[in-house]
Amino acid sequence: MAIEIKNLTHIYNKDTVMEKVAVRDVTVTIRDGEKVGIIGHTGSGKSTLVQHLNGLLKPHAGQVIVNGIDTMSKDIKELRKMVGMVFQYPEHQLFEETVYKDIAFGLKKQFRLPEDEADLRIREAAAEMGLSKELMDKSPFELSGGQKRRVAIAGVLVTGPSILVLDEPTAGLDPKGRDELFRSLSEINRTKKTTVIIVSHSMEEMAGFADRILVMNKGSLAMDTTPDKAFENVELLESMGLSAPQVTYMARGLARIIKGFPSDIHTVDRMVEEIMKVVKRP
Amino acid sequence: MNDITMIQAKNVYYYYKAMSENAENVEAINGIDLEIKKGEFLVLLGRNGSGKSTLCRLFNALLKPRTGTVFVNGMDTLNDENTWLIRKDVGMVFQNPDNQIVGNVVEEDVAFGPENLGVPPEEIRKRVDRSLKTVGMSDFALYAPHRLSGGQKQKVAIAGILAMEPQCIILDEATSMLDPWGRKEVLDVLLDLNKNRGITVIHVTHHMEEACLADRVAVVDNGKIIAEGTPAEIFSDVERIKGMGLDVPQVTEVFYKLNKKGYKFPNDILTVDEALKVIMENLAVNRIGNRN
Repeated sequence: MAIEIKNLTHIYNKDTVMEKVAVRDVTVTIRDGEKVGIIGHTGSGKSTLVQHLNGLLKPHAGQVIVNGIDTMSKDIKELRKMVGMVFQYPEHQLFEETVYKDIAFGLKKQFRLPEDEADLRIREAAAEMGLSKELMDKSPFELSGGQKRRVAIAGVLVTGPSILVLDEPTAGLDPKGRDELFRSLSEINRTKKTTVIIVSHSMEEMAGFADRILVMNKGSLAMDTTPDKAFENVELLESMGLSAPQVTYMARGLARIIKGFPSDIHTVDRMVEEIMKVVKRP
Repeated sequence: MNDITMIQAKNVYYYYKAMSENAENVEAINGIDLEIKKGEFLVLLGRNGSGKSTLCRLFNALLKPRTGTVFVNGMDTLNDENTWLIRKDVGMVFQNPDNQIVGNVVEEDVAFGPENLGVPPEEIRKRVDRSLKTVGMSDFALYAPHRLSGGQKQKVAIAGILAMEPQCIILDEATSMLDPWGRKEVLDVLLDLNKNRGITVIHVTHHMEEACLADRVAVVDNGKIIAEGTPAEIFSDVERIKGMGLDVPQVTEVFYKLNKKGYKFPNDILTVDEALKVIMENLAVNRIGNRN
């Protein structure tokens, strides 16, 4: 089972003067259990693309098939159980009196579960998002920004999606909150084999998290690559409004000075290793 | 207080009142003393919920101190008669560009502020044109704001503030929703305003590369200023910064890790250029093999 996107085209305001092709002829297959970063500048079509995965948007041409279900078919309810969608700033959608009730909301609406099983799943989702038991009876509005966001994501996780799509999940989080969120998502991916798809404008963040990177540019799929290969062509990335990590720029500078120094480094640890090869310890 | 001080906070405390009877007040600012000089570029860092946004709101009289005082350009924010003068001097740009644009056309949006200040129409026209030119958005004067990118919208928001001819601009995570290109666009505008036009800039961000551009960095935690200094001073103590839930630039971390392995590099390297220079120096005295 997988996500198959075939020749997908989506047009906003079709047949009007405002017509805009947001996604143009995109074909890509995402396999079960992958960690995928979909990257692109504002307006590149990345959010439009992922909104097709649970049938929020429908193709104007082409097809999207998720675990065998065509998003144009009538099985939309089934589709939405499989694909959990976390929008930008999901904490703005919190509304319940307690963290527990907020996480439970989607579960109670979508599934008719016995009370004890529901309780188990709610507590499990909270734990997966690193929310402690003491927080469960608090008002979500008393929590910090990072905690609120994790409550909102737990509210999607609790429904047990096999595919989790997150649109800019780290925007506005402090560095620690960001790292913790990525750790939680990696852990869910590892233990439950959940496919995790993250929409982001940061190549740097995705290079640290994803095992596959899709770059969108002007509605088209411009790159389908791995973190290791993504930074081989920095000029191309920059021409698409993206940038490389600071250490990549440092590596490129060093490669000009030192013969044979690798120019495609994108992590701090690798940079440390390579410098140790060329500069002797005092 | 003197004429080189833009904002002065003295022993400031602020709490948010409890929303219900059995809840407690939420302490947000717990005794802050801070002086911001005219023409300074100050970056405020701190984890989510540390009090940065509350502090910003105290700086332009959106909030008033519960205890202590905030002076803006010599005016006490507690005195209601000063409120409008203070907000004219200190403009604020918020995180979400879509929440702060009111006009249907870019130039109308930029005119909104000076209109409210009662500026005569012909003067408004001049200010709108000048402000849009300053942020590089003149070509978009007649656009509908919703057709702009996030970075362009934030530049329009900045132009709207410039049209009120402020002395100080506060940006409360105004770059956090933007892509790398949009962030660069906004930062370039801020640097230009600060370096070439003498406007005081207070910038709240989670991006450490942006903090490196500041004259001074202040770290807020639990409603207090817990560290303050030049970017080099702040980021050189990597463990302390990480302990505050923050991060350092990647380049700084590279040298920090190398030093832990026995190297003796400086600990305050922030930029790629500085990094290349220091590696070059070490290659010259310490070459190994024939790799060079």
